[in-house]
Amino acid sequence: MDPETTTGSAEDGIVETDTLVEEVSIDGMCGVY
Amino acid sequence: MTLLESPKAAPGARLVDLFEYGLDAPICLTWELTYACNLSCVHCLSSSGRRDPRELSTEECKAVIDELERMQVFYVNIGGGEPTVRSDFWELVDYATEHRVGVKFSTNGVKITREIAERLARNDYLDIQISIDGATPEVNDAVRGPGSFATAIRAMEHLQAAGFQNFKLSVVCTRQNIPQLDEFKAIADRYGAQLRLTRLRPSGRGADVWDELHPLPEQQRELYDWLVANGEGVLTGDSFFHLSAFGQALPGLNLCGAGRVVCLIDPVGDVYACPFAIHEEFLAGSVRDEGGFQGVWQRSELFQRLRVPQAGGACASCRFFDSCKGGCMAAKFFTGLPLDGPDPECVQGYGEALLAQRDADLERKRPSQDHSHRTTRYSKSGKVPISIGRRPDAVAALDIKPNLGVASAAARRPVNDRMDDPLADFAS
Repeated sequence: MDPETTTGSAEDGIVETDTLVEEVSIDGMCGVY
Repeated sequence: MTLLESPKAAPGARLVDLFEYGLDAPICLTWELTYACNLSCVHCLSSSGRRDPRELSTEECKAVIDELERMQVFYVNIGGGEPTVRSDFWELVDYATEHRVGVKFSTNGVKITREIAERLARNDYLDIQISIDGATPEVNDAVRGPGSFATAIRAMEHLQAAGFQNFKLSVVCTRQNIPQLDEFKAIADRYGAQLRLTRLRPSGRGADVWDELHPLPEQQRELYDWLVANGEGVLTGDSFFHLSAFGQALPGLNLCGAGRVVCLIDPVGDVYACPFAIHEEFLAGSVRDEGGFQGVWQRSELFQRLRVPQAGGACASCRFFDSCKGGCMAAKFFTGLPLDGPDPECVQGYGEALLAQRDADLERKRPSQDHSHRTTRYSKSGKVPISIGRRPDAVAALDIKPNLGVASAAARRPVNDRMDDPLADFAS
């Protein structure tokens, strides 16, 4: 993904952020033993 | 979910780098619903045991859930304490999932009966993790208490019998259980579960036992190699990013997300930057404040300060800084190391030299809250003799010193001397 596109319009920002979450494969379950 | 205001991304910048500027809602929101717990795990990150009488009420919890729905928070990670001992726990779970806030909760299994397991298996917006810290009763119960291994296994049997597929088996990696990684995987496979390994932090009561329980340097390498070889299908809570400095980056979020994409709501509604950093220095506000949780997340002064790229400090010249980002803020804080220096378990060894100075020069920070059961015996020396489990035979087998003299814990006062019964005010 072109990082430049992440600074586009607000609408673009929402789309890119959704993609971002998928790309880094966040487990999202930290802080509980 | 969108990025908060951030500078124009530099050409070639990684998308994950933008997380350093924060998001308008947390990706990973941990919510400790209660400090009450039937166990007294020696490494408990929230020093849980007794319920705090200031705990959020059912209606206050539902108001928080309403707010999370408005903020489009995808799900919450619920822990404690043992969250299922709240008499309104199942009501809150149902309320959250009915309001499009998914729930993942962590439990020692004490309330997971066959009937409850069947009820949970019918909810598609729910995930559960069962905690064990040893693949055998001897190793597990030395940390989590007598009988806790059997309780966890029974809960997993109920979940499997109820058809709850792919629940999680959670393991905090310690010096004593690193040799059991293959056995943990086998247990998870046996019950149709997925293994999640988590890094031990020196937070809560974990500060008292971290020196004795945290993996040795050679075990860090063993763990890294195991994750590289077996990592597909094994979750980590993105907690081992400090190991990425060994070479190949591990999957996940390889940076400290505290206050950027991660935060904690504690049982009384206080909001901290990170579940492992329950200390005044990382307290951003309260859901009871005017503006609620959203106001804290989006406008607190602390979170604004955390939402800048890490400068690196003493680590800036290390060629692995881009891999590990200096490691875990909480691990540094509670071992008394500077926040702009190396992680205490820096795999390049830079943390060890600082730790060697620690006892002489550095002040160890203490957790701000202590809801531990009042069974801890205080000695006249001011040191706390901590028994890791109550089975001398098991302790001897593990080569753990049964009485770990740890200074200054006596200074931590229970929040409420009246609350001897951890389950007080809760229905059975």
